[in-house]
Amino acid sequence: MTLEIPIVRLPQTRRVPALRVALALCNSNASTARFCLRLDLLIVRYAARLDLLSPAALRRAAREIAAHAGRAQGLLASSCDARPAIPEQGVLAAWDRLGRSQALPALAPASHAPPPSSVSARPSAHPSSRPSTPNMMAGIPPRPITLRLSIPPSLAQDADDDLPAVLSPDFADDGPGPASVAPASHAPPSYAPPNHVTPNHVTPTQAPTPRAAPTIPPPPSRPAEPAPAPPPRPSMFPSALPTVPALGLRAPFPSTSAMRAVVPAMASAPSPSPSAPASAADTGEMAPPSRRANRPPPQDAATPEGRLCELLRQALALATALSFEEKPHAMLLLVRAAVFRAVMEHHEAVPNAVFYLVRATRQVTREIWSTRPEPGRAPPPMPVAEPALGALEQVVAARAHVPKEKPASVEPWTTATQAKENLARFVVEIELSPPDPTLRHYLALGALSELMCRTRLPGPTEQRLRDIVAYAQRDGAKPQVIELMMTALRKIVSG
Amino acid sequence: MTAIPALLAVRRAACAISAGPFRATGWVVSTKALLVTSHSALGYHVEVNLENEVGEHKPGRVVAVDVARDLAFVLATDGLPRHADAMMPLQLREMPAVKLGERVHAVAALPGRGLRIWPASICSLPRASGAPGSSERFDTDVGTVGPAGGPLVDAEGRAVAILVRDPRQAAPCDFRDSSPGAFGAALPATPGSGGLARASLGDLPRLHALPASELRTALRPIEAASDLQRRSPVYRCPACTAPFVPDHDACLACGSPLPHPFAPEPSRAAAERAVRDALAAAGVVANRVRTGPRSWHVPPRLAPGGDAAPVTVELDETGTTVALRAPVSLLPRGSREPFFRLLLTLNDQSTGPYRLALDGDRVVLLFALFWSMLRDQDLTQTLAALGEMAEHYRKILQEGFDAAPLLTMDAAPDW
Repeated sequence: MTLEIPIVRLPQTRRVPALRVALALCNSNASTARFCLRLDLLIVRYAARLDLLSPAALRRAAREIAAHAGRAQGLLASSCDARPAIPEQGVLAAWDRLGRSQALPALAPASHAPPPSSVSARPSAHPSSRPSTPNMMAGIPPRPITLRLSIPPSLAQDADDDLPAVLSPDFADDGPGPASVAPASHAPPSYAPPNHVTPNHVTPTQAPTPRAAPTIPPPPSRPAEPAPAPPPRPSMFPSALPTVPALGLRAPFPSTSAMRAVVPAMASAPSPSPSAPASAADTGEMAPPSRRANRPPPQDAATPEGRLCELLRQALALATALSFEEKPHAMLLLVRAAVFRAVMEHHEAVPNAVFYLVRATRQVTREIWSTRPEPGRAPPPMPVAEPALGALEQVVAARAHVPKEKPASVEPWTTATQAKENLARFVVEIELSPPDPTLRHYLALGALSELMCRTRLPGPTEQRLRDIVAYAQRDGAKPQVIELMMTALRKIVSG
Repeated sequence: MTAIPALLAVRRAACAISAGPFRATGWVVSTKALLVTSHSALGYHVEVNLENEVGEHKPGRVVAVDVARDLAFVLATDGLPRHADAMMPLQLREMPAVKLGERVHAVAALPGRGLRIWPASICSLPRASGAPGSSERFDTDVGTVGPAGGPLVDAEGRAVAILVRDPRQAAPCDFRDSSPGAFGAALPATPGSGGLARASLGDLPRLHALPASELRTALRPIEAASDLQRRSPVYRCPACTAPFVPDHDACLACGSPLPHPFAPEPSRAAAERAVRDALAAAGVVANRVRTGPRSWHVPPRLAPGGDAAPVTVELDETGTTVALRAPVSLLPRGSREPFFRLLLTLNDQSTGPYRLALDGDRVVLLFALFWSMLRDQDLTQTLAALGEMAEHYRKILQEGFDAAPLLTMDAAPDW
């Protein structure tokens, strides 16, 4: 039996004090609950074996954890400027407020099994499903150690492989297989003609035509061969670990299979059969039922709202990873990419949510802020991405069911020069962003989406770009896909 | 050097005595390498460690205890610690008797920090409480100076009293009717492992000065004994002088409550009983290892493949939760964020029923539960699992972050 309460999200600037406060609060004798970290979410958790809990003890535990959570939230908010995990009081919180736990099988004591009469912190966990490793420290590299490297993927894989098969069906709803969400069937949106603004459409008002149609390499007619695994690099992005979320980071998706559903070409992860249910090895974690319930139902990913939410969830996960690397420019670019991808892909099916996004993120999308300011010119004040990310979170929390919104229009690029300048800045920022394939894939798709949203291109060029976008969505973050998109963008810029 | 030349004798006589988490001030009272200190400050420990002002250590053994007077006599089995000068007994001043308002100095020895000498005035005359077995006590006006057992010396460097606890006051004293520090000269031994830090002032027993004449009375038969090396302490009930063992809370002969260093607290009686029973099932006598009003210090047990580390057991203030705590490591130098993130993430995934926490600059492994659930626990197994997991994370944190392993929860009290 587990009681979990989300407390706060780690602040951007006072993370270390907040983490220390949480660890110090863990030392309290008066509390049986503990603080845990899931990516940037601090939760307080109480777990015990139900058969050891009397009703009185359970009632006391519930009261204690609630009081503990309230005190901790106040303390962290006042002393560290931490944002409450549930900002709106009285609003029904979604299950995904509890975040996703991370599997750290290599760091659990190999021979440790809770005593038979002791409380179990993880009733649904499988402490004995992983065989005892004689020397588990052998797999951990010597210092200097990074968080990510402290989990040998091989060990993590071993742990997952040893799951009893009977548990596999429990994880069948972790996410649809790659075929469940078929990017190939995703039809590119049709846009209203220029100078025609309809109430339900986000439409460029004066879409210009670039002076010359650039030559863009055509996409391959069939899915490319699986790409080789990307070389290891000091990154905290989830894609650095194909099967195990990076330590200190929340897995952006319930499982790698769910991740594949959105990013079909996970670089080095073998794709399971589309018809096969996701096995425990795909899950990467053993989440309790309470947490599994927060995953969207399988049909959710097939609905336009579900697809929009997945798009935004992916942006939020990447944004959290970016926050650890202190990349504010890339963060703003990511929000921009998310908004224009939402406009291009979902403005017809989920107009209100898209209008809301456009309006709520206008401060962030009005300009592309350069990491390298022009010499002799003071860099313009840069907004923070937090409000925009909050808007993304709200849309996800509402499952894209947003009340009717006034139509929002996207300001078009009125000249080819302006389009090229903006696109050039976009390309430069993508190249300066962390070299994570998932992130660059997302950003490049965002750049193409913005180009198609804000300009009127010649027919062949637009069709070719649509083909590239469809291909990129289908094949995911493979190096050749990213390279194709970047080449296309560069040719447009230089064209 | 001292500003008062007479106090040089104090520096040559006093030393710090420690036994596990217990701390006391001892001083030489006999040429037979015999030191005296407070029994309640040392608890029921027999093997102790002597440390002089310059940090030299020597082993010692408690050879006699006078529970009624709260005195413990320690024999330096391997000789007294030495510095430039050999340690010498402090002269006792039995006559003339102390007078009201007389200026004296309270002495305390702090392990690793030398001596602390504090001026004081005598604010009450020696008087017995009238209870059977009671002895004369008087009070001074100083506050906390350090571990109990130190001498009160006059301007000529003679000991007029020793600072001890009144064994009749087994229950925690009540400070509501008197201001703190207005009576005792020193607080007793550190409860260790944070017990003192977490104890309120009202939880700590009150100290008095036992006149030198009383000390001489207790010392005389021990000095006369010829088998000091082979003697072991015998604990006797202050009321009826019947021997008792630390396991009991009351004398089996007369029924009087026994003056353990920390008496049971009625408001936490059920929780304390649960802890006592659980420790007894693990082969540990709770009264022997009690280090504070709400804390017990389970001595190190050999861990398979690793170093032994003690485990502390603590009750919260309301007596609803029991926490078992094992040391893991010190905070590493350098960037803390990855380290803190790792600890909190481990709390979510890998620590099982335990949790990692920060106690100041120390990483500890904690297991907290309602005391009512302690009855269903096999404490032996839990202690072993806690020690094993602490050793596991000790290695991980050392290899990954260069965090120095921590094998003890003892910390010098912040007197």
